[in-house]
Amino acid sequence: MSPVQLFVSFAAICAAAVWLMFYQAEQTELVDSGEIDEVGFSLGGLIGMQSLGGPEPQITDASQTRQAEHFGWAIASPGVIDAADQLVLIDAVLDGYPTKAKRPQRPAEVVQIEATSSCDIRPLRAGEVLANVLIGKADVASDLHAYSDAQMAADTTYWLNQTMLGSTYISDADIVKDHPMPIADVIVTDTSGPVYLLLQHQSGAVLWNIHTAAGVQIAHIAMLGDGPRALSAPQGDHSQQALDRDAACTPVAARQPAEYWTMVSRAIANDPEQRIKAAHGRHASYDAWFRATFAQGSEERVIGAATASHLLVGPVPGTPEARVAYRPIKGATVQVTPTDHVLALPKKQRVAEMIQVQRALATAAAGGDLAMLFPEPMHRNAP
Amino acid sequence: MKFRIYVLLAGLILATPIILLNLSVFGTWGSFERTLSGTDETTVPGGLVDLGNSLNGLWSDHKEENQKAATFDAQALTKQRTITLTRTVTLDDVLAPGEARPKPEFEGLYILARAPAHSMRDCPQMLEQVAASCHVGHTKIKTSKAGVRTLISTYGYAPAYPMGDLSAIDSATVEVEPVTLSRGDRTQIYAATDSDTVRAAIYAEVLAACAKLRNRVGSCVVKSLDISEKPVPEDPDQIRVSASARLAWLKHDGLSADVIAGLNLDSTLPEIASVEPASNPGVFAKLLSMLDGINVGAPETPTTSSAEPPTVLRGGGAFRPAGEAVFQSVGGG
Repeated sequence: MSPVQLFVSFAAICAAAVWLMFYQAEQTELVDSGEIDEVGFSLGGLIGMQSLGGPEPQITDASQTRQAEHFGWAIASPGVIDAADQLVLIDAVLDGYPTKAKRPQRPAEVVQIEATSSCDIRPLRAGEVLANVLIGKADVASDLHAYSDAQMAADTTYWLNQTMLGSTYISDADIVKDHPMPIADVIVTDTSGPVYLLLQHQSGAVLWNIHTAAGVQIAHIAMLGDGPRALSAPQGDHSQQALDRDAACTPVAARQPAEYWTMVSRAIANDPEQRIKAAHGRHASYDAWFRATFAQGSEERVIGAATASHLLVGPVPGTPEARVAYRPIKGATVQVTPTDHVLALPKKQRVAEMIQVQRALATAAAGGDLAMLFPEPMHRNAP
Repeated sequence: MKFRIYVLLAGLILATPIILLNLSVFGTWGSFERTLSGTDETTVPGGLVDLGNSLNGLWSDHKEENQKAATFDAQALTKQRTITLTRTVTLDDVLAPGEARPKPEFEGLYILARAPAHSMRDCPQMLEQVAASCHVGHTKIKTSKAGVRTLISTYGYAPAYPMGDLSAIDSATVEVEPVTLSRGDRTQIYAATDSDTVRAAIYAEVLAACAKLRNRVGSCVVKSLDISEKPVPEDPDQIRVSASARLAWLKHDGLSADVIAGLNLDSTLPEIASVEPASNPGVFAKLLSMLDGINVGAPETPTTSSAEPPTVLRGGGAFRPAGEAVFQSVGGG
């Protein structure tokens, strides 16, 4: 080969790599969601870290969905965790769980529910079965977006900083970020008595989606925690409470630290920053509150993990026919606790609306005109 | 046939940046390997390494020339010639008279967004003493745990003082050196209301030092001046002021050896430390030499100053390179 030929071949290979990179990124996006407009850029494609194309590997064993995290297990969808920390796949429990291509789901209607103080939590009544659901967070995104003014300020601050630096990597549309509420599916198969559903999460936002098997009686649903919470529950004569955690009555929910937490397993011989000790302390005060409120230990038959998106209250259905019918978020009416910004709109519309609001904020912050971010130079003999 | 040529051409155009990037990395890696092994052997063919190195050299020469040109350009507003002020800022400082306070969540955002315009308030004093033009190049807000916000504003300026007669100089190297100021040791405390007076004294002191240097070597520019006014924790009405500056001058063949050597005798000016190595040893070599004091690829430069380590001109942190949007274009960049 002459040097020229060598050079040309090399150039052609490089060009092919660039093309594959973009093409592959586009393909991935199409699989993930039908609504994403942008074409992503994948460096992994360039350096061969990702397999080129093809569907993601099928998970056939529920144990594959579990791995240890700082504050306990992370159970990835489609793994379902129950009160005994046993794992099954969602298809064994729910009938009609949407494939990845049909997510994220957007509710048809959003109504606000008033939140009251956690001091008002309804006690457990005689004969009721407590379903003690506690997750750190869920990680299956919905297409319902809820965020606070503080989060909006953080997004706008990022945009302002990058804009003022003159970053090449920031565009006007980057003033907004997505804030999808993650969905936590609670599948109730327990028919041993009226169920008191205590739903708690520790960080971020969560949309609780309740699915009930035939014969299940829900007595009460209490959503307790901080941050935006949403609920989609079947019709019924149950009562419900959205409870904002009041530190005077309710300590922060905390699990009991265990050996498998990476916080514990990776702390070699000591705990210099006393984090494990602090975690035990948080659990102790939470457990004391729990015992006083529900007359049982907080770890007793608790359902959840540091990250978990599907939670099973009761036994796994014995036959495929006995599986619980999935209640989609798509098209449902969802109740949301008071949050500064709640948006359930098609992506283009939602982004346009968010940009409008955040631009107005940025403009007001700059003193009425974004041009004031870049003041003109001042000269000694200005005319 | 024609189609094939088009495809080839398209491929070439698409691939050019990647080829250049690869060559650059080959060059850098090759010099790194040569430095480590002390021999001329590299995993990549030596020719590619040399080609990559000359490419890197071309690029850094180009940048360096731009930076040098910008330092002594009479009008340019660039990061090559800056004044930096560090002081506290509050929401009340940036709100217009009578303007309603925003929600607490938005306070930080308001201060951040108004920092550039707020910083312009310090321009008139600079224009009065130091600058013919004043431009807010970059602002940054730091928030302490106690919630005190510090505003750091970096201004590009065009000198209002004489830089010296540069018309006769054909080629020169830009020498940069720190200058010791009377407020360099962070011990000076003043009433916060006196900050203008203190700044005026610092401007005057720096200009005097620069004039002194210019009288000796024929040229001087205040390359950077940093003034920091931090509130005294026990008494918020008082500020702790510190200032530091670097002066740039042109070293050229027209200067006699004893003029340059004589600089060391000047008590207000520390001895001269050469700043830029004569050749471009590449990014890795520079990093190495910065980390370990190993001087790679360039002859050892005698450093006599003990006051401060040599200053690296390149870098630029939050700034974009001279010649792009934040600052005005200079030197064909």
